[in-house]
Amino acid sequence: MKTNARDGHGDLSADWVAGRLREISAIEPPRSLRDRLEAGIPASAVRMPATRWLWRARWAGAAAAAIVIVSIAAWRGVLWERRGSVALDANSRSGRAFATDHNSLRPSDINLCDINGLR
Amino acid sequence: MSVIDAHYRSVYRFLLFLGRDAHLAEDLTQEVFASAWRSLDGFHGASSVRTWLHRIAYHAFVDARRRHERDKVAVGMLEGRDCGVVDDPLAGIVADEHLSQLGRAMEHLDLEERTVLLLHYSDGLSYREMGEVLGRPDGTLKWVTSRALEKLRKQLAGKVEP
Repeated sequence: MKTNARDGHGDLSADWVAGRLREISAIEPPRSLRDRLEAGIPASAVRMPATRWLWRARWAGAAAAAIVIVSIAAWRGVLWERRGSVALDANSRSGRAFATDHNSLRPSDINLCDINGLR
Repeated sequence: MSVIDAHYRSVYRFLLFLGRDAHLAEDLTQEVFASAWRSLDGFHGASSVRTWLHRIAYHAFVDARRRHERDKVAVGMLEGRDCGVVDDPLAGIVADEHLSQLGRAMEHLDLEERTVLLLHYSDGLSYREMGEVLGRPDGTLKWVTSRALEKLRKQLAGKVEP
């Protein structure tokens, strides 16, 4: 960026000074400095924060997914339990009648034979 | 691109113009990255990596200057003479004469003024980011930057032949 060095009054312009300050960013450090920096810091740390955060985010994501899956499984388990309702249990046995799924009925599940208790 | 590749140039330049000492700038750049690595667990991403490294660099320079002042006084007392540097320490590093003049003129600014000019114009940090480096409010730093630029302009006036 070229700006006039002098302003309208013949003074050095602030823009020109700011421009010279920006030129500092063109100065290159000695090549040996980079080599020394790489040698002095373990390779695992060279790709620091960004990678570390990515790694932590992945673990957090996996943990969150596991929690969701476990929660869904537990919720479905509760629903399944509720679907099987106890109809009659005169013999104090925990027999269940799965009214909605007749194919899954087993003899032990049906406990409707307590005639004495029926009215 | 690694953190070193992304930031070592700007950290080095910042320290070079802050202290006008190439060897010190190299040593401190190494110290900054070593220190950053050691305190990596304390970095939670509240600020950018660039801001974080510049904050470490600034404090490393302040500490080094304090040590240097102490040593200078001790050596001066022992030898009974002034230990000031006579040669331009940027000679050989900065080829451009305007930049050498700029470096010499910046010696007349105080540390905070030099810091804000380098961070804002050379490294492109915003006032908010500079506030994170220096621990000062944005408004104060705007004012300091403006005052520092004006002081530098006056220092360079009459010395620069554009």
